[in-house]
Amino acid sequence: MLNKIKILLIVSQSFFCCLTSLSGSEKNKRICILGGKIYTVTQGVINDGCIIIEDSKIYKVLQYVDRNSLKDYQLIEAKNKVIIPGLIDAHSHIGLMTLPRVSVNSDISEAVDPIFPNVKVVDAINPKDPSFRQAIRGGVTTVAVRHGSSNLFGGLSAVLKTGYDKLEDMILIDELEVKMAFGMNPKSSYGSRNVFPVTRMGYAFAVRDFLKRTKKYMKEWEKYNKNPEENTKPEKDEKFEILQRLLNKELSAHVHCARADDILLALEISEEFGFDITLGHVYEGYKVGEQIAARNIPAVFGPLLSGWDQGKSQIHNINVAAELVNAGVKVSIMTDSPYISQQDLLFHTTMAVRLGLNKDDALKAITINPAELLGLENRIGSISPGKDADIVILSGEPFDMSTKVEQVIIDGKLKFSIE
Amino acid sequence: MRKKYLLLFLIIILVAGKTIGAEKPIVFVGANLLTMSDLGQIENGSLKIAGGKIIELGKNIKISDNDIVVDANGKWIMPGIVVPYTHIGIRGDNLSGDIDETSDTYSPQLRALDALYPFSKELEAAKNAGLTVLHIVPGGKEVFSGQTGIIKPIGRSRKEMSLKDVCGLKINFGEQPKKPKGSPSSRMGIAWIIRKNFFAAQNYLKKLQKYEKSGDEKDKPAEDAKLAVLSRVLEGEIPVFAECFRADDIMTAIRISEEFKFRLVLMYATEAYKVVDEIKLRNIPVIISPVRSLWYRVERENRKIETAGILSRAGIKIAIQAGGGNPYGELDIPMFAAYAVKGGLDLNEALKAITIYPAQILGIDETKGSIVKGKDADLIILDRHPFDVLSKIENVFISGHEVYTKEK
Repeated sequence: MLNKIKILLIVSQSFFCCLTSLSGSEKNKRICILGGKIYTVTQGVINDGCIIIEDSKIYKVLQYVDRNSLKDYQLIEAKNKVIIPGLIDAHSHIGLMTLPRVSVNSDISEAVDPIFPNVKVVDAINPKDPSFRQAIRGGVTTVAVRHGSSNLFGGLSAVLKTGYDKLEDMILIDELEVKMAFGMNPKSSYGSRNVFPVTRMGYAFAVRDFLKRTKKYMKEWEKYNKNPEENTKPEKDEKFEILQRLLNKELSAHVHCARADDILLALEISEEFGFDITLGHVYEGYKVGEQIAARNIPAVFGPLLSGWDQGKSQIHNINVAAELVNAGVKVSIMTDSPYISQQDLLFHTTMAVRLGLNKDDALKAITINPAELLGLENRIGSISPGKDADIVILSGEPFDMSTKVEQVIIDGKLKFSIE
Repeated sequence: MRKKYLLLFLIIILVAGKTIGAEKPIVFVGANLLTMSDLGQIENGSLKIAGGKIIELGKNIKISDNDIVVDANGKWIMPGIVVPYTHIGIRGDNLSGDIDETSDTYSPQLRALDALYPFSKELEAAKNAGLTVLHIVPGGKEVFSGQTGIIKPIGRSRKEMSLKDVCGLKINFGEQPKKPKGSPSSRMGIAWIIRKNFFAAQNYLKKLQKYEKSGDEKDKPAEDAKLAVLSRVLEGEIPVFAECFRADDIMTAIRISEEFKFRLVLMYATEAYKVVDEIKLRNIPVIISPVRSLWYRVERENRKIETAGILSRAGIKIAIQAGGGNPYGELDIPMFAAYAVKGGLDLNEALKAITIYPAQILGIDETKGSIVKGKDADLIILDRHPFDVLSKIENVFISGHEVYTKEK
């Protein structure tokens, strides 16, 4: 992680030098987005506002500014526009299933062993996946990229900014969490080969068993480290090493679970072994909303919005997102890209509004809530001074069907403009 | 047992009551009428229906003492939505479908409506969503997958529901009908199977014409249920609905339709924007699905939100449909049209693309698809403009009967 920051520093410094050599006047020129209705998300709505960007950060958010005082600023006119923070997709596989999605392009799951936490998605992300371009066009500036759901323990997830060409520039977090999966996917992935686990009984046992063995491994090392001279050195095991970080709460786990019993199993096992989790998909979350809320566990809902009942999609929609919110769960909405294109995240969330999700909660579900879920609430997710200048300018209200994404700014730089 | 009789009795009273009610003309007053005709949108308009038909509409219409007057102030009234194609009703509510007779890739003799399950929950949901006319088509896994039909979503049997037993013949191109270990295994094979059978149909027709002239039993061609259907296509009685995605498949469909001179309607046509001029030149209508499907296929890769708008501006007649694998279900068609508006389609054209245009493409526009005097009273009443994300359907009428009422 430290290395990453160093690299980022070097990159930004070299870029800065490059600018200086190009033109002196460009240097230090602040950007001002003038006019427009600003949804700050955390500090309410500002009509006819003004956002000042310095370097890659939001410097100030103001009510009204006299145009004459802005001579030294690079102006972006946003009169009659609507401004929202850069959108965050809290669950996707972008870059792991490069378009076109033919089998040679699929690197979503290392489905050779149900317990395989020792791989990392950053080793498979293709920064040239056309989906990234689509994401920017859709106003999505930050994405969580996760391993698929074939394995009970899958590889380590990452968080990326979409607006760069090189992977090293994109990475915000390269080891976010361990991926876990319960339900249909691990069952069918191994069940279809008639390899353990085939049932829910099987995988509940396998997960508990492996966590117990991790604890044992940790004890052996503890014993050895106390007295290295007298004890034999235990063998290093990469799988246990990763899960040790989970049990030490250095990493959390993101659990793929759709049916209510799978959600409950995730709550149970995480409590039993004392590690932190977030939940993904939660199609039957409306049945156990209070239990999720009682543990203060955030959930990423989607991509199907109509919910499940007993493992089946419903003909009559269930308002899952709103029911989770009402139960007190912090809800984010996912695209699960490439299943839904991130270009459609705003439309996708509009459809959740159509099902009855409150508009304020809907906006939070694609901005501040995913930022918190990813542990990045101090950097992204709202239009506040000090945060990254990730800003989306819209033609109208965020959840109007006809609204278009017109301009997208990432880290203070214009990355997409509709013209 | 007694309970059953009581229920039956209640149903009879209810049905009878509705029929009696329908005898009296109903006048909706003060609504925004989205007519889908040359009259466009009539603000603060009134609409009179009786005997299952639209009797009168306009700013000021005569109201007689006999009329039931309904205050529709601030409401929006539009014609019932005409679904340009769907598998709803023949796919067993996604539990036990009958859409693909995969046993034979050449199955033009089959009729989609023979697989109709009148008690489908999806049909009930479709009715409640204001989808008052549905074009039911067989699947896409065969080259010739069968004949399509048109229904209304109310009734207890195919007979009661059918508006047109046979509307057209469905032919499929591209990835779906290809079989890795069978025939056809390439696009060449697909084109050949189509052409081979139309050649046979041409011969069949010639023999038939000869027999009709001579009346000689030995000239009579052997009965062939498949060729009989293809002959109807060659004679121009029914069109071909061609499911195709890639631009080259669209062009293959066009080429074959010109070779055998049959009427063509394009379905999906994901890459239609690449061959706009070719489609316009021949005035071929296109049924498109603006929203991306969850079911990925390489041939759908180049879907664009702008396609509906591009085709419409070129003067091509378009109809909008949800499309298979739509992540939002297939019932909320106004939202998919609104999505096309986001991609640049004119708002009024988008409204027409889910009502009058599909009715024209399906050949039922004499009675369906717009609010015009004399047409069937298939109506949807909403609390907001149909493209407003918060709009809710309050009532649905089919031929003057209220078939859905929103719970208060």
